[in-house]
Amino acid sequence: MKRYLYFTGMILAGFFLALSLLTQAAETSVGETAPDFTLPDSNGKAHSLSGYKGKIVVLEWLNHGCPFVQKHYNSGNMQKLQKIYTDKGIIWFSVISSAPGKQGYMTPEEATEAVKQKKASPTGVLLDPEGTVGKLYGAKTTPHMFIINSDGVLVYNGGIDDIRSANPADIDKAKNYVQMALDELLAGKEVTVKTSQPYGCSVKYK
Amino acid sequence: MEFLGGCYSSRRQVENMKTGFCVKKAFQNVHNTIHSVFLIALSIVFIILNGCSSSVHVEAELVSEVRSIQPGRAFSVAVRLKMDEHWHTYWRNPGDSGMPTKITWQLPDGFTVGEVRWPCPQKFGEPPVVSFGYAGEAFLITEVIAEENTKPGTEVKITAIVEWLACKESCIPGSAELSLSLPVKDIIPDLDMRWAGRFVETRMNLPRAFPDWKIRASAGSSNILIQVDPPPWFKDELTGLAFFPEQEGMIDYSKTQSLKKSGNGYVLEIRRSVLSVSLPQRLHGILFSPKGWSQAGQERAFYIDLPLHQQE
Repeated sequence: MKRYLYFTGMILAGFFLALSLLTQAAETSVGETAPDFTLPDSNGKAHSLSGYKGKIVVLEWLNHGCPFVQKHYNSGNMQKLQKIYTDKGIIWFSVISSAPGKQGYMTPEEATEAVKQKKASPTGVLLDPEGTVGKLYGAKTTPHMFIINSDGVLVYNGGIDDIRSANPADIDKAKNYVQMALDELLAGKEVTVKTSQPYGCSVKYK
Repeated sequence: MEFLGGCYSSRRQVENMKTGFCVKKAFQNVHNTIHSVFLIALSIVFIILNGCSSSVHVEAELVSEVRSIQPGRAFSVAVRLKMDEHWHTYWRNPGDSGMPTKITWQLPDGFTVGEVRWPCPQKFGEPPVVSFGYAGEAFLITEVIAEENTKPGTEVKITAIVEWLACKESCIPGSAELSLSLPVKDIIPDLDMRWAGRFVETRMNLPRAFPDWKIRASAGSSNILIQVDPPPWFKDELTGLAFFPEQEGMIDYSKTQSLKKSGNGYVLEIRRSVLSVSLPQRLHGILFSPKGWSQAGQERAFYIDLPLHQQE
């Protein structure tokens, strides 16, 4: 019996190892189809990426405890971008991949409350406490920005802008890559800067 | 946050180093206003007196290797960062997260300052987020050249404005304006024995070239290969090799770098990052070997700067 359990354990361990290697290998490059996912928002509504074919989708990795996120929220920069582009029909999801007990983790109620408090206007705040979608996309930092075009292709993977700092005074001096890419997409053009170095705090995976 | 090893895996403990009069953790655990006002006032006094600053989790100080300077001659100073246990600051390429420590110098007219000599970093974090930096105590050494007509008998003031990000699980940005005054004398300077040992030790671990090792690098669509051919005196097995790129966004820091035998030497295979859409002309960074690159088996950080060829 013991031996049986031991082997079952080994097989299961092997299976999960293989699975984790597969999911790691699946990190998507720009120009490839963005992997589909389904996550609940803070109001309990489920969203699938495949449900937004025909729309431009922005994924913004979020942790309100991180100084780099605070740079863009306390200055109103992130909220401004969310407002401008959701008004133009773009889908904007803030994604929280912090694990329970780690910095930035929020219950659904807390996440909804934070949207109100920060006067943010994302399409929704998606909750990813297992970190599955974060790891699927290779989200490294908060913030880390991904843009998916209306054909479901990943067209931008990188930082919000080109100045790696936690200082809000740098926002006006920086080149905002997300804004550039979205303006290009809305004008029917190709995105010129497709990748950049994301900067910020590490995503607090479990 | 898990420690993944890397350079300095057998670091000396530096906990008992003399730290001057730094007020440590002055702003931590402050329970009442009077106490905090007193501590802040006290720390301001110490900052003025010592060019030393302590903010949450990092103690920063500007120190000199020598006690005086000579007109027209080079000398070394260092920003000393001492992190609380489990906290780290970052290398020039911080990796997936974090921010490099930034130093802005204010020097007398005619003085010139070189680049920071970054020591070989450690790895922090775990896949998929891996970063590079320093725990314990780091000396960021920089060479300064005094102006030729600086007058002996005077004093010069050097100021470094230092900005860093300190992280454990969470991150706290910090900054300090650090100053140091040194007398100008027309003699070969005495070493400042409080710090000279740490300067020597830090320099020994600085990355440098080892010309008797032959290194080449090439890139394919998904990987970078570094070919390492040992010199004839090397009879050992090369193991545990790790590459730390100075360039950002080029390699995937989370993926295992695999070392295989190839011809008379070895090849280190490194996965490219999904962010590396185009490739740079050159590859530069640190090749770390736990067994060392010199015949004495020491000097583990090999600085490489090579053309990056396309794989056939």
